[in-house]
Parts: sequence; C-alpha cells; structure tokens
Amino acid sequence: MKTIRSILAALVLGAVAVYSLAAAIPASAAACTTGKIGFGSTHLSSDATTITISSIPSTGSGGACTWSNFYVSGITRSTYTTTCDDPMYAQFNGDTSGSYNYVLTWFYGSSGSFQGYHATRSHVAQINCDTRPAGAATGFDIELVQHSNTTFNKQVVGSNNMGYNTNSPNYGTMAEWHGSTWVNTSAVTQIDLFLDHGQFKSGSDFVTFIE
Amino acid sequence: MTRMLIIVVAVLLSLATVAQVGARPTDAPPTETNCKAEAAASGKYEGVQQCTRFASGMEIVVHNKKPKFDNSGTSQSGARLP
Repeated sequence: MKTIRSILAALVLGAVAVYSLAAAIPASAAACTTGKIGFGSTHLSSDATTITISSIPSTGSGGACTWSNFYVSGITRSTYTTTCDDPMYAQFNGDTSGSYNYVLTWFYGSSGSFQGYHATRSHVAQINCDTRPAGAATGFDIELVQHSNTTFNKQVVGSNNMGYNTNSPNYGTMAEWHGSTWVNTSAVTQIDLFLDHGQFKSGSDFVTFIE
Repeated sequence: MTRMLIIVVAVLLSLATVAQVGARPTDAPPTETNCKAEAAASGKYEGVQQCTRFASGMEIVVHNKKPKFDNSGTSQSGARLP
C-alpha cells in the first residue's frame, strides 16, 4: 500500500512538471522559437543561369509553429565580361508581372549613389563580372521578412560586398544595400535568382536559413 | 487489481505527455536527396544541372531557364561603377 502511494505521489509530481514544460511550448500557429537555422544549400559544379528555391515552408514540422523569416546568403561571380558588374534579380512565387519596387544604394571610396525602380523583378544584389581579378566575387545576404505573413506585401532587404575595380591584387571594395517590396500578400514559397546578363560561375555557394 | 490498472493507465498517460512535450517544433537537419531526374521530368525547368531536396520538402534546383522579365518602366539616377 505504501509503495502504491509513493508511485501515485511521483505521478502527481511528474504531471505538474510536465504541465510546466508544456506551458513553454508555443501553441499551434505561434512563431517558431528555434532561432535561425541552416535550411539547405547548394554548390555550383558548373556555370548556371537560375537558382530556384521552391517549396519554402510557412510552418514547422506538422504545422506546430509558423516560420518568421527566410534568408538566402551566398558568394558568386558572373560570367559576364562586357561590363564590371551584373545585377542579380529575384522573382517570388513565379510572378513575372510588374509587382516589384526597389531601391539600392552603393558606396565606394568617398562616393556613392542610388537608384529606384518599378519592374518585373526585384534587384537583390550586384554581382562582380569576370573582368575583375581572379578570386574577386560578391558576397550577399537577402532576408525575406515574415515570408509566411499573408496580411502585408512582402518586404525584402539585402546587402552585398564586391570588388570595385580591376587593380590587382588590391581591387578595392564596394558595398551595396537593397530594399524591395513585392506587392503581394501571399506567403513566399518560391524564389528564382538569376542575373541580368551572365551566368552564376562554377564554384558559387548558396545557402538558406530560416527562423 | 483496480489500483494497479489505474497506475498503469496513469503511467501511460504521463509517458504520452512527455513524448508530446519532447517534440520540438522544428524541422530535422537538412537531409539531402538528389532530385535531378524528377526536376528534369517535371517540365518546369530547362537544362537541369543539380536538384537537392531537403527534409523540410524545400528544393534547390540549378538550371538554365531564365524567368521572363524586362527592364521597362524603370527610373534611374546616379553613376555606375567605373
């Protein structure tokens, strides 16, 4: 009898502890609380025209929570040789209509400037061309803010760093910042990344994160 | 006998609750699957070079079909690179 009472007491205490832990777990549709995690990557073994990231989820496994932000980061270089840089564009969910607005600003040395556009694609980074010294490339970060939100149009922020001129070995650095609006309230499930002129060079790396 | 039955049921319920709490709302580490053949057969892409499918269901397809876009309707100011 004493043993049975002890077991029952332990069960009651255990149940209280379990209840306390359960209170810390987000309810259905709450924001995922895992922090920023690596979500998949690709390494180009040959030159390529387009990187398509599809089936981007809005919720964690089993719909237990809702993801907040989606990120794409990478290092790449364009095969284009006519000019010194090549715009990298993005389209979301295969939308090719004129639903994109963006502005970019760049700085090098003591100079800088900006551009603003309304277009059929978003300009998310500027990529070094093949006219730059060997090894020169663009490193970029793109964030899709609240990519699962279905109330507001999507906001995209990005930045990149790239080689500035053809001097070798010190070709300088130019930094850019990009801000885009995709005039659409849908959750982002697909991103197409492509260049205005050339191809992404072999050896490029693209990695995604989610939180 | 009845008490024993109650204890067994209570233990099972507790274990089930612990299992539920232990299920973190996250996705598994990205397990990669080569989906190049499927991507090529889907007809959505041209010149599929690589396709990777992850545990979350997300896919990254490297291919040679550039999406439709144009540069009309733009406004521009400022200087470009030297």
